[in-house]
Amino acid sequence: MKSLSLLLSASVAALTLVSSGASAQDKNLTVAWYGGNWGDAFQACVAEPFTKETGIKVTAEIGTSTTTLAKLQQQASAPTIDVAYMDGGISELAQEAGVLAPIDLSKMPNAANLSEKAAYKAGNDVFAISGGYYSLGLTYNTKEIEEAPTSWEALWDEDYAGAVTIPSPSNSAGIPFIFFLNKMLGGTPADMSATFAKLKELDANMFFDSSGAASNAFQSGEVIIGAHFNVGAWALADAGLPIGFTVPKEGVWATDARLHLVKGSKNSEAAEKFLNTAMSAEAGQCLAAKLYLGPAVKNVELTPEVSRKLPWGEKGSVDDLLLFDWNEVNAKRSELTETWNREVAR
Amino acid sequence: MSTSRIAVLGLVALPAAFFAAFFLVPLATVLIASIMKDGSLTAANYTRILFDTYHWEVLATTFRLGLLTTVICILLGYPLAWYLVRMVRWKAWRRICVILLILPLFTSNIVRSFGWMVLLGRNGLVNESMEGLGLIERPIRFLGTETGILIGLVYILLPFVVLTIGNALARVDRSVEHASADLGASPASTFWHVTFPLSIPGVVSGAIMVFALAVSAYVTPALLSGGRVTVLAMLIFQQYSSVFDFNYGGALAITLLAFTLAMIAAASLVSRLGAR
Amino acid sequence: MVLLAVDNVSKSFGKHQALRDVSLTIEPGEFVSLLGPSGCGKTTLLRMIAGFLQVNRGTITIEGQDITHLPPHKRPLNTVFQNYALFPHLSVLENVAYGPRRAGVSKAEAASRAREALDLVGLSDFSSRYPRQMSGGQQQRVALARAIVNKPKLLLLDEPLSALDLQLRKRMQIELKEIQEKIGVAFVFVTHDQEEAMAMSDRIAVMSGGRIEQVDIATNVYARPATRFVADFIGEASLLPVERQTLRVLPEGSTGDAMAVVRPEHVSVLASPPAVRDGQLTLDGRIETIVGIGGATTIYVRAEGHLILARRLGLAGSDLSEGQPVTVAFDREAVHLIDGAAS
Repeated sequence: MKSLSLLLSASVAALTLVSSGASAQDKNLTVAWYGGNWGDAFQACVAEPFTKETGIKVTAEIGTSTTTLAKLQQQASAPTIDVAYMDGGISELAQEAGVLAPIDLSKMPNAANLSEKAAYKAGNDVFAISGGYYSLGLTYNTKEIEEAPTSWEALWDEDYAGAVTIPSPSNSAGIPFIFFLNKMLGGTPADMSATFAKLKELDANMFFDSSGAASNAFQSGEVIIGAHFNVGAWALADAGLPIGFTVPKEGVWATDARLHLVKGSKNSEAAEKFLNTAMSAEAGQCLAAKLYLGPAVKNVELTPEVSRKLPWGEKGSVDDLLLFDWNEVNAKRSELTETWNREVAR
Repeated sequence: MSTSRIAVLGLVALPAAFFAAFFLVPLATVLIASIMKDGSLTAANYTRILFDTYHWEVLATTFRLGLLTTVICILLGYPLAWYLVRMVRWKAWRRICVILLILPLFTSNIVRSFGWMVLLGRNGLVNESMEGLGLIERPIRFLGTETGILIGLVYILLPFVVLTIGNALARVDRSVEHASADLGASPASTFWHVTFPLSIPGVVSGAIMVFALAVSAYVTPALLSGGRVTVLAMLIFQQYSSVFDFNYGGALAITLLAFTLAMIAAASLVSRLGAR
Repeated sequence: MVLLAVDNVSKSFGKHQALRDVSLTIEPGEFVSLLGPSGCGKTTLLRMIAGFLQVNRGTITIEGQDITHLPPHKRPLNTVFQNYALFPHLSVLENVAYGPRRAGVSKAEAASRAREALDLVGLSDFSSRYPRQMSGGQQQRVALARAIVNKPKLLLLDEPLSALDLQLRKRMQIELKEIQEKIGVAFVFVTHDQEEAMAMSDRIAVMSGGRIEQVDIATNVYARPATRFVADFIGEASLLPVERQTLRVLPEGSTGDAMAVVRPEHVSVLASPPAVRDGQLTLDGRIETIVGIGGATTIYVRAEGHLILARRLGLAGSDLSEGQPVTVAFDREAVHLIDGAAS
């Protein structure tokens, strides 16, 4: 008995220690962002300058956009996250779920740099600002395909049969990509049957769930052409692999990583400052250099080498990106996923 | 005295709380979500599943893969377990074998599945060597087929079978095998009439474990199918991760659970009847 | 004709020599016990006869046929194992029918033979039970029935009664002997219990340190031990160094040319005045301890440095007490001489 009560009191002591440790963080901001090289880039380009400027430490909460949204919903009453990075699409869902606080751009001097469409509004309130754009472009193996294809039709080229990849609906780009193809093929949002018929003809090697799976398939040579994010494709190319990324004549669909203030955050002032740092030209330049994220702020100076790897390609600009209304995409998500399951994934 | 009473209370309450927190609450959450839609109670999520041949096809694929994985795991795992328990004389070598067997379990499923993607791919080791040997002219498609998923599942789940069967074999009293030989049974006859029947509990528990893990596996089928073959776990993941329909997703999860439990119950009933 | 012949068999496990040049023959229908302390090699010998251990050197033959290198399942003998080794997944009837079935007998015929064997051990009503549902004594009978159902010429029993309590063990000894006589099978019975061996065996092979010290009928092993080990191991005895010619007992520590074995029941303890009969050997000493165990009393007398045991039926009586000077006396005929004086 004695040893048991000892054990119990020891665990109580341990719990107390943990909770007191948690409350001891005064000058600290918790920011949710993604794992891997994305998280590293946000750390280097935004969090570090922010800490340097304000002395406030940044604690990273790593997770995908979906995971972050789930956390925000669970913690709605007492959030531990102050700022959340989430992708377009999930951003709208978070807004709908009521876990976001409105962003007052007038309090942030750098907001003047922000391009107009990079502030997302629900009614009159800004609920998200863009942290940089990325696109799903045509990615190919330069060893197998010497000249950059000019059209998405190349995916259906017989030469590449069985070695093609596009995102599955489980990937955040999956449903928007169907919208994109539908637009390209002249379908209407109400009738996508022609698009699905075309998708059915596609002799795909795989439909990727995660961008890592796509990178892996390109790297191993399993796939020689497909839709892949500029971020992932150029990372492969930079690693010395024979991978090219191009924006075909039909354009590319793109989305962005967005920053959000969390409703009920106890560090809202620090959080606003963090957003301000994120909107600086330096942060934009840094993220463009590290991830090839297309800056959402103006006046960012870039080297030609970085410039050509941005989501809009060598000659384009932010205006060339096809940014769908995510509310429209989300409304069709369930239906299109089911159609995909029945028509394509079998 | 009162501290000891608190201790006793803790002794009872802690496991109960643990069980509730980690098993009952999540399951109940899923179950409740599965019978709700737009805020009211409904069976619609289930009728949507059960009155749709598409779902039955996915269920069939899921359970076909589960059964094949189980059968192949046992066919491969039994001789391996036998080798480990009965043939290996040198203790250090046995320890190395067991470590080699268990080690992959400490690495991520994702990593191991990616490994298979490299091996089974168009330019993978398997196809390259078969082409090199002149066995095939064009690469065989493994990825994106049930065969590919099957290979991955067998590889990932094999250790469980080897461990449970090995454990059962190690517990077979060698003196009953001696008794069998003493009564005139040849080694093969002793195996079929004594050793194998006595190892069946290990086979059954290994089979149940593998079957349950195989039908609920997500990572391996998702990666090795390349999204071209759909199992129920992938549908569930899709609903939870991108469609956000927790009601329909929950109903799919409960359906998978119910079918799995029914299969296991049927299997244990059959094996119990067979044992009589 | 000799049934079993073990000829100069040796066995070692690594550096440990478990058996050294052991030879033994068994006649048909004979009951022979292998008796010795644990580690003496008796179980090793039994396992080599059964075929579970390989022989290093020497041969084993049954009815003239060399079985030294035959696998166990080809040997014409059966074994009752120490822990019974019943098949836990088979019913009692299936356990007993196992042997006939493996010999290719039809299911119905095997069942009928099994019933017959179960009948013999008094378990006909238990055929549908499972081993785990039975007591130790019942399991032991099942093991016996299973071992005799194929009517072997030779049955090996490896301490089959050691797990039973004393009462049951005594009863089983009698039953086992009866069954053995009824079916006329030769038994090789391993035991470390000398009373058990004495009660049941036609002959006893006393083993020690991997050797057979003596093989003889029970009364001879007791009355005429061949070696000092046998004299010491079987029953109680006073071992005294003597001069072979005169039978004069030499004091403790000296070396005579022979060793006298005197059983305690042949020793009289006489209070003074000594009433020594003619021709008896006597020694003067002092009583060290008196131990009464109800039916008999053992008196330990220290004489010439030796501790001499004497036994009387009943209680010690009032004439003797510890520390008392006494004379011990025994007949010359009661003395058994073994060679070699010391140790």
